[in-house]
Amino acid sequence: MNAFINETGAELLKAMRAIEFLLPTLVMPMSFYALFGVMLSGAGKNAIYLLATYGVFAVMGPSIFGFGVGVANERDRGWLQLKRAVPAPPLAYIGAKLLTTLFFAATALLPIYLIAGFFGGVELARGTWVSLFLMHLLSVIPFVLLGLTLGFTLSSGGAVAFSNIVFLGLSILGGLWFPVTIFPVVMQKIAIFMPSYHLGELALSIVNAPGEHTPSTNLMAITVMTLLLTGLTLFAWLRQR
Amino acid sequence: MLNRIFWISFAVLTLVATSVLVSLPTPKQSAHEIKNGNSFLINNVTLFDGNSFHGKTSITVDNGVITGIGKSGANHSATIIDGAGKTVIPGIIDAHTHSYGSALQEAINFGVTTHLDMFTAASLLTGEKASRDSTAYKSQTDLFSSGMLATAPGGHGTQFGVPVETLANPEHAADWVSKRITEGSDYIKLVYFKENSHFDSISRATAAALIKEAHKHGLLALAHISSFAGAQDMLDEGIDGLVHTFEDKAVTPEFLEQAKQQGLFVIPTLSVIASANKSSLGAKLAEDPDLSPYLTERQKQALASTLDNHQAPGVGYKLALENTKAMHDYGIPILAGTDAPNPGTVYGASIHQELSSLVEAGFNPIDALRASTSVSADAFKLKDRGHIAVGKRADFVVLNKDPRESIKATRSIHQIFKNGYVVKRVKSDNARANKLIDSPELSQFNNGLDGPSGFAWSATDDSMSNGNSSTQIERQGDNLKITAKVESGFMFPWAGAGVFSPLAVDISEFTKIEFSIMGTPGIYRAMVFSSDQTDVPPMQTFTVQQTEQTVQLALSEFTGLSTKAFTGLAIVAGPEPGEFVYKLKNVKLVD
Amino acid sequence: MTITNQPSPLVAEKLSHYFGKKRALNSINIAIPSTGITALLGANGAGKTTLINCALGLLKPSSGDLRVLQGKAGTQAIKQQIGVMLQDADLPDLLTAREHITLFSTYYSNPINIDELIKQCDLIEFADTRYRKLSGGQKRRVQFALAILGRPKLVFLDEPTTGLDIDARRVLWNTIRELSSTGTTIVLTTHYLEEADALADRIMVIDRGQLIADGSANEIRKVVSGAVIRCESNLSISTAEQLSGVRSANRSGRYLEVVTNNGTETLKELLSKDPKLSDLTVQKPTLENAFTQLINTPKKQSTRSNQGELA
Repeated sequence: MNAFINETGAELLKAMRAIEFLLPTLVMPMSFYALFGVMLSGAGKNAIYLLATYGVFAVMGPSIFGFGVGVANERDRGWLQLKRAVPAPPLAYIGAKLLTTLFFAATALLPIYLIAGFFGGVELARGTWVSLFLMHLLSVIPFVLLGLTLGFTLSSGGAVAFSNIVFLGLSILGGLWFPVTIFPVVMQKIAIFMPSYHLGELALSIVNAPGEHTPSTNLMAITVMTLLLTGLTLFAWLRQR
Repeated sequence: MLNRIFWISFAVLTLVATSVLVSLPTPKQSAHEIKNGNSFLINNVTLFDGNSFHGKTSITVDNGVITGIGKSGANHSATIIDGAGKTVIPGIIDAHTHSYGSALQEAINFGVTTHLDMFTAASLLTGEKASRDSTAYKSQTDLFSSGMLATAPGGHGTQFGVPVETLANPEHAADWVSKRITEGSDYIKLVYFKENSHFDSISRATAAALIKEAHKHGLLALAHISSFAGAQDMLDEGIDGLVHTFEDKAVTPEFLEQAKQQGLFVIPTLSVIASANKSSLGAKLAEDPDLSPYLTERQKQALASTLDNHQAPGVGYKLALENTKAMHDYGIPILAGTDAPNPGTVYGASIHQELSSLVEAGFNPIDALRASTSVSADAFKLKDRGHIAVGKRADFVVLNKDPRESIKATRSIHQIFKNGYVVKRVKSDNARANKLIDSPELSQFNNGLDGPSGFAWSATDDSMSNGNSSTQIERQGDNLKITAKVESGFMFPWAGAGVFSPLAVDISEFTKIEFSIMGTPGIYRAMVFSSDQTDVPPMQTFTVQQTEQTVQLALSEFTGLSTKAFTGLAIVAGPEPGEFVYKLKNVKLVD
Repeated sequence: MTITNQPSPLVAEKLSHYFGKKRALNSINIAIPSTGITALLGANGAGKTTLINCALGLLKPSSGDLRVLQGKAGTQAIKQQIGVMLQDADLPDLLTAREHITLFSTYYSNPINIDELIKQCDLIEFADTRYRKLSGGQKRRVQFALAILGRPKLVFLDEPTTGLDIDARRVLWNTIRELSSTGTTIVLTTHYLEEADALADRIMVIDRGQLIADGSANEIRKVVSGAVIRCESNLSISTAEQLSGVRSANRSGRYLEVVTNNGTETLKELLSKDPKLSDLTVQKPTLENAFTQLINTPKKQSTRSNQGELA
């Protein structure tokens, strides 16, 4: 436990000292939301819809970049190898990274909530705010797995490039920036295979905005995707050894 | 060291997250609503379930959804409401509106819980879609809409000054429809005029392509037509519904048969047709004792006005009634819709006129009620409303009287429930009679700045709206000298003097405002204020010269002024910037 | 050096490891002495690092037996007793030495006090500087501190001085000697003969996944008896190789280098073949000569035997 807490402390410290890399992933969702959700949407009626999807967008950055680029970089420099050679608790490193990701996911989420509530006119029952927050935090799981797979598979340079592609792809194709219904039909079909799309729809269902599928369908899709990603991550982990 | 970072970080995060989540705004609910919640039981009530009437029965509602009808709910633990003597009907559906501004707040005040909008700003849709599937607390009407309408460049719909995405040929149909789907349109509405001198129209081929495209995406296609021939064309192309009836020609048996075969439905919008035929139905509605207390002066004026540009009075309306009746008798679904807020109609209240017009056309009251509830819901495939049945949304209206006796009973509303919550009906403030003004003389500058009935003169300028203009006033004998600097900074800069009172007074016995003015030449404005205004005050312009002249302005030309709730008058320079010096005297109301 | 009865901390029997078809360890038998510094000497790719990675549990041997501190490689209990400095492991740039040490000290049941360790490894002046800003030698000292933090019985140092300048290397050598003097068993891999010569009590030469020589520096050197003759000469290598007693001949620039069993005989013949030769030196063989000799000689044999096995 002590090792885990220190490991997390070290991860937080590293992330805070490299804040210039993290800052865009924290500021971008917030400013996009302020722009598209509050300033440009006129009536402010989109504020609630976009709150749900931009929340998923906000947690994606820390998850994919923290794990994709972070793990690839530390694997590249032999750091992971050394961790395995010393008696570090096996899951402490991943657990610490996950907790750090949650920390920054929350850091990215809260300003969006504040903008939504105090500038976007979004009013939700207290319980809904809390469930939305928890739902958004839990959304990190599939993205973390995706990031881990990238981190275990790619060199640090490749991970940077690839994480960006994955990040933008999941955001746009998953309908987090704009509803997928504005895309051509082919792209709408692709959206169904994006975890971001289903997480967005789940978040929408929490704020009582209907998605195109029932929440249970979304939940099932996201469970299947998470399991597949877990398999993929394990495969990548075993292979990189 | 590292563990301290861990504990501090997460302690701070927990604290911040908790305080953010605790301070985020929640929907405002009055103590009354929270106390009542949206779970309850109504006993001993007469029920119209959307199709038929049932004697004394009970309705159980849990969390905004109807969970039981009949005796089963007798043991419900939540609030029990005695419905003895009352009649419950489903929340009313207005099947033809253009929902701008505060439409959704106004409509619910009269028992309309669903708007089927036929052209409004697409930006409204996303948010409204989010809330209409919820059973959370809401005191607004739910909105379904076509969003943008399909019309030709220069066609009907383009005359209102709002941007309209027109389309010129059939090739544009697919793209146009997919854009509507993107924006969240619930159905497609097109405007097709076969022969009309006023407007250009999309071609029949374009209309056909739109209908086909809408059906391809599983959307209903609805048409605004202006003639029987137009209706026939659209019917031939497979339209699902007409959003007006035609009143140029009596419906033919062939049309009736074809319409029935194809499952056409019609929203005749008799209220707006009546207005176009210069009828006084709207004005009479405004005086209805059950509705009047809830109508603002602005709404009453809107009801009293009529739609321009139409055929000879009377003929069209009568034919419209006959056609509607004929179609109804033939089994074609007729849906109640008002086309509010066209002149002569207002959101909410006008649906009660529409029901009366249907009865006037020869509907029995039950069929009229169906037209405004179940028939509309079924035609638009709305599964959660239009009926009072288990599993439906608890949108309903409790009436004081039984509408089987008189359809006017729908106007006598006891309570309105939306999502199972009681809607707090808003009475119009100025519906309360204000005192008549003490004296028509608004100025007595040789005595001071006071006017009659507690009114007083003061400088007024846009600095109250964060503009940059400034004003100084000074009494000189029986004149008021005003030095006004109009500076840009506010959208409509102004500076001048005005007479205001916190208490509204009734000036309806007067027809004009008169005053004498001289000063820096230019265009000046008179602005009037009444207590129900929320927007830009009504105004008129006039020119001022170096020599003194008397200006008379008709009160009726101040569109939107409630003469029964007058609170102020301002005579100002602007919006052109500059320095204006002018003298004002003998400001008074005249017959 | 005292002879003890303590069992060897690292015993490999017929240990093989393959990377795909490439054989990194070829049925190697090895027993590391229980005291002192043992150098695993070999060219790059000889299999030294593979052996250490197997001992650390980072690699699973393809076949054979491996006992580390009488236990199974890679278990938490064994890891607790081992310190390690990996060849290519770099620490995260953004933490300071003190922070790295703090984190690692939570992994061990009985770590050295952090401040003591910093003093002991001479890290005081840069203990609170971010790792990124440290020099190569300072970085290695931080890594070394992490290796000894858990009071290990056995320390693996994989190419500890690669890339360091000569001063930094000397500093680290001293530190390693001090550690050895406290009774810790040290296994270091190096391809610097000089390093093995300077540090190791025992040298094990590894080539192509096999142990090809094992002994003290002197013993290894003795593998090559005779002399090394070096001179400026135009004679071809093939001519030089045919001189009597010559085991190998090499050319580096104008210089010819001949390793021979019989210095006197060879020198005579050399002078007669090329009377013009100049700048002549005759030396006892160095470890480098021995090493070159060792890895050249069995080359043909092992290739042959490999082919035989594969066939």
